Amino acid sequence: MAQSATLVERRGWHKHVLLSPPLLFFAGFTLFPLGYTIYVSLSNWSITGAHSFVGLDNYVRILGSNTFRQSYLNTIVFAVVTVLLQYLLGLAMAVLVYRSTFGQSVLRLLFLVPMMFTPVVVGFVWKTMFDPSYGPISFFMDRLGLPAVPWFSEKLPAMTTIVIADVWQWTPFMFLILFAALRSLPTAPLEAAMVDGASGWRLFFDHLWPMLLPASVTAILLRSIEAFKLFDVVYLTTGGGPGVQTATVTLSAYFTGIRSGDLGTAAAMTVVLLVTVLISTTILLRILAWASARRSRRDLGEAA
Amino acid sequence: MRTGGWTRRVILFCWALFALGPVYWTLITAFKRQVDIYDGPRFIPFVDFKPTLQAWRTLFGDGGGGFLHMFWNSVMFATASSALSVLLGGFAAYGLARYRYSYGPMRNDDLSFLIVSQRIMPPIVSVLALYLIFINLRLLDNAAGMILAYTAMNLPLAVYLLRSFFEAIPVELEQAAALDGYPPWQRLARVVFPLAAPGLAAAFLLSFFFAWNDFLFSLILSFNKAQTLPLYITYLNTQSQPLWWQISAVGLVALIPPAIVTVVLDRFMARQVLIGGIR
Amino acid sequence: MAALTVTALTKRYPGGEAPAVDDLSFTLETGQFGVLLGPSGAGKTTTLSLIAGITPPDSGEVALDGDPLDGVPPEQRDIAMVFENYALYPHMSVRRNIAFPLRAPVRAGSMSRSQIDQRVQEVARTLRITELLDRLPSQLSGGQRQRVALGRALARRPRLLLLDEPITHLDAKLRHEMRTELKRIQRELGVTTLYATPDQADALALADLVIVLGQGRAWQLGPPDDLFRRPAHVRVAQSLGDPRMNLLAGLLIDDRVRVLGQDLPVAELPDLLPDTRPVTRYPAEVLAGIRPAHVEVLTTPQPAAMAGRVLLHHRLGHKDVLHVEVDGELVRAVTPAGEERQPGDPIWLRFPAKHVHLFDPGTGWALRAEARR
Repeated sequence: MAQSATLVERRGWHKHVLLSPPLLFFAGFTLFPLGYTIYVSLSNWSITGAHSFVGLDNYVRILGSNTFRQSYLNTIVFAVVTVLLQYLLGLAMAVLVYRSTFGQSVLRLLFLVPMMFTPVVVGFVWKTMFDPSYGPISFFMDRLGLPAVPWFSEKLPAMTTIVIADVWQWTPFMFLILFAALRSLPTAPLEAAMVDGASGWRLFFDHLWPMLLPASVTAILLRSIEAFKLFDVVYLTTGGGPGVQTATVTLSAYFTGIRSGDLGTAAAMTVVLLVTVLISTTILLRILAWASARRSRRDLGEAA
Repeated sequence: MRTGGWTRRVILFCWALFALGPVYWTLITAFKRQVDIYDGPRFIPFVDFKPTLQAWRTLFGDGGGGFLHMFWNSVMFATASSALSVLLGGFAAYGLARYRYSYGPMRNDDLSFLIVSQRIMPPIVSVLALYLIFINLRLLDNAAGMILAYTAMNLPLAVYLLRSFFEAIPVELEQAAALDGYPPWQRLARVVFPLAAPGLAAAFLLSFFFAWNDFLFSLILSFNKAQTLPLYITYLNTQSQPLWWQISAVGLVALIPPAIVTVVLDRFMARQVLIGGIR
Repeated sequence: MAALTVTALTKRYPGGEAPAVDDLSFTLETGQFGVLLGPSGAGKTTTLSLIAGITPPDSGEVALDGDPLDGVPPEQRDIAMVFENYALYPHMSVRRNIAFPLRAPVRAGSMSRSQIDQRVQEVARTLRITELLDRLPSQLSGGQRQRVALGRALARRPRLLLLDEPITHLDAKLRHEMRTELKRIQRELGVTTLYATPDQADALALADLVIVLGQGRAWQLGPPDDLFRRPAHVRVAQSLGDPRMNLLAGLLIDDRVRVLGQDLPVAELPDLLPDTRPVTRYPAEVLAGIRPAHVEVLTTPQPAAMAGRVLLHHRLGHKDVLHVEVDGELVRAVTPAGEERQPGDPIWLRFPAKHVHLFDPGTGWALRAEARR
C-alpha cells in the first residue's frame, strides 16, 4: 500500500514557511551577490562607489596579466598538491591506525588536533616555525648540516611552507573520513581474499582500496571545494610573497578589491575562480557517481 | 596488510611528531619572554628558558589592544549564528523530510541540492558584493551583519545534516503524537526535535566551528567594532616584530572552542553522519 | 446512537490508478468490536488513517457519536490508535509514554498530576506491565511493546480505539494469548474498537462485526457467523475459514446442481441472504463452494459419492487435512484425526447439499437457485 511520507496533510502554507528561510538566505546572500559581482566585474568599479560599464575589459586585462595568471596557477597548484598529499597521507594513516591494536581512539584524537586550530593561527604558527632566524626548523636543519633554505624570500620554498601548513592542518580531515569508511567496511570480502592468498600490497590495491573509492572521492571532493578557497594560511605565512609570487586568486582579489579599491577587476578574478571551481566540482561529482555505482555493482557481484 | 609491527609504529610515531610538534611549539612559545624568542629557539621549559605568564597577563589584563572585545565578538557571533542556523535549518530540513515540495520544476531533492550547493561557491565571490550591499544597508561592521553573514554561511550545512536525521524518525511517531492530542508545533517540540537531538547538536557544533574560524568575512565586512579573534591575530602579526608570545597565547585560547567541538563531533560524525553520506 | 459511522469514504493516492478506499460505508455500535479483514493492500491502514484524521478523505464522511469529524484535526477527535509498529516514543520511559496523552494540551487541566499517575498505574496493572514502567521501549520485547502501545491508547478512555495489525509481529503462541487478552480488555472497558487484520482467525475470534475489505471496497459486513455461513461473494467466502473453501465448477440444470459428477437437489441448498441475486438463465454455469470441514469423507464407496485419490495427508494433531483428486480437480477436506492415509489411496467424497454455496463464475457474487419445473 502506498506509504505516504507526509504526515497529517495540512493545506499548504505551513510547509512553505518552513522552507523559506534557507531559500531567502540563498537569494539574498548567494544569488543576488553573485549577480551583483558579475555586474561589478563588467564595470570599472571603485571602492568609493564610482562605476561605469566597461563590458569584458576587466576579463581581458586579467587574463593577459602575468600577475593574475600566476595567482591562478598558484591556486590550482596548491589545490592539487595539497589535496593529493592530504589524501595519500590521510589514507596511509587511516590504514595504519586501523590496523593498530593499541589505543585507536587515543591515536585518533591526537591526530585530529591540527584540525582544531583556526586557519589564521595555523598560518601564524608555521610562519614562526619556518622563521629563518628564530624558528625551530631552520634551527634543526642547521644542526643537521643542511643548507639554509630561504623559506620566505623565494617562491618555491615559500609555496612549500604553505603546502606543508595546509597539509598539516587538513590531513586529519581525510583521515577522519577514510578511517570511518574503513571501519564500516564489511570484513568478509577481505578475509575471503586473504584466504585466496592475497596479501600485502596486492591485498591493498586490488581489494581494500577499491572498496574505499566512494569515500575517497567524497573526501577529495569536499576537500577540493575548500582548497580552491585558500586564503587564510597564505595571508598569514607569506602574505602572498615574496612580492606576489605565492598569491592565490582569493588573495589577489582581496588586495585588488579592498586594498587597492579596484572592485571591478577583483570581481572579474572571483568569477574566473568560480567557473574553475564549478567545472572541477562537476567533474568530481561525476566521478563520485561512477565510483558509487561501481561499488554497488561490485557488492552485488561479491554476494553472488 | 602485513606491515611489520615496527615499521607501522615508526611511521605513526613520525606522524604524531609532525602533528603535535607545532602544537608543542605554540604551547611553549605562549609562555616565553621576548628575549627567549629572539635569542634563538628554546625548547624545554625550565631547562632552556623560564616560563612566564607575561603574554597572558597582557591579553587578559589590559586587553592587549582589544583582545577581550574581539574574543567576545567571536563567541557571540558564532553562538548566535549557529543557533539561528540550526533552528532555521532544522525547520527547513523537517519540511524537506516530511512534505512534498514543487517549485516550478524543482522537487525536494532539487531544492536540497540548491541549498547545499552554496558551499561550492568561494566566499570571495559573494563577499565583495556583500561589502557594497552592507554599506548600503548599514550592516557593515556591526553584530547584526556579521551574524547574518555567518548564518547564511552555515545554514546549508545544517539543512544537509539534519534532513537525514528527520527522515530517520518514523512518521508514525508524529501521527501518534497527533492522536494523543498534540498540535503541530508541540509535536515538533516534544517528539521530533528531542529525537533529532544528536543531529541538532552536531549541526550546531559544526556551524560554530566554521563561524569561529572564519577570517575572510570578518576581514572584509568589519573594521572596528565587529571584529573577531582571527583579526586580532593579524594585528599582532603585522608589526615588524610580531609579538610571538602573545599570538601563541591567543592561538591557544582560540583553540579551545573548536577543540571541544572536534572532540564531541568525533563521536557523532565518524559514525553517523559521514557514513550516512558515504554509503 | 451509533458510535462510529463511516459514509461513502473515498481516498485516492496520487499516482495510484485505483482508489485506496472506495466508497466505504459501515456503522459500529457503541462498545462493538469491529474487524476490518483484508489482505495487504486492501486499504485497511488507509481506512484507519482516514478515520483517525491523519489523512484527509477525497469524499465521504466520518462521524463519531453523531458528530461529523470533517475538518476536525486528529488531536481533537478523541480517537486512539495502536500502530502496526507500535510507535512508542523511544526517548520516553514506559510510564511517560502512557502518561503522554493524558498530559496533552487538548486535555489540559482535566486530570491532576496524581490522577494521571494513578491512571497510569491502573493501566499498567490491567495490561500486566507494572514492572516495566521505568524501562525504555528499546529495552522491551515485541510483546511487551505491544502492551505498552495498548496501554497508551487506552489510558485516556478514548471514544474509539483503532488497531492496525497489532499482533501481526508476534509469534503464534503470543498471538493466541493476545487475542484473548484483547477481547477481555475490550469487554471490560466497553470501548468501541476497530481492528484491522489480514488474519481470519482474528476476525472469527474477536469480532462483533466483520467488514471484508478488498481493493478499497467492502464486500460484505456482518457478524462473523453470518459471513461464515452466508457469504455474499466468493471473496468473502474465501477470506474466512482455514483451509479455504473449495471452489468447483458446477452446472445448474432445472432442479439440481451437478458438481464433479454428483447431483445436488436445489431444494436442499442453504438459505441465503435476502438480497442474493437469483439465477436468470438456465442452464447456468456456477461455482460451487464447499468448506473442507463440510466435505464428507468415506472410506468405502457409497451411493452418490465420488471416487477420488488421496494426494496429501497432513496430520495436525487434532484434525487431518486431506488433499484429494477427484475427476481432475483438487478438493480439500478436513476430518477429525484418523488413521494414516497414503498418497494414491482410493477415497470417496460426498458433498451435502446444505453446505454448498453457489456463486457466479464471472462476478463472484452469490447466486440463489430456484427450483424450476
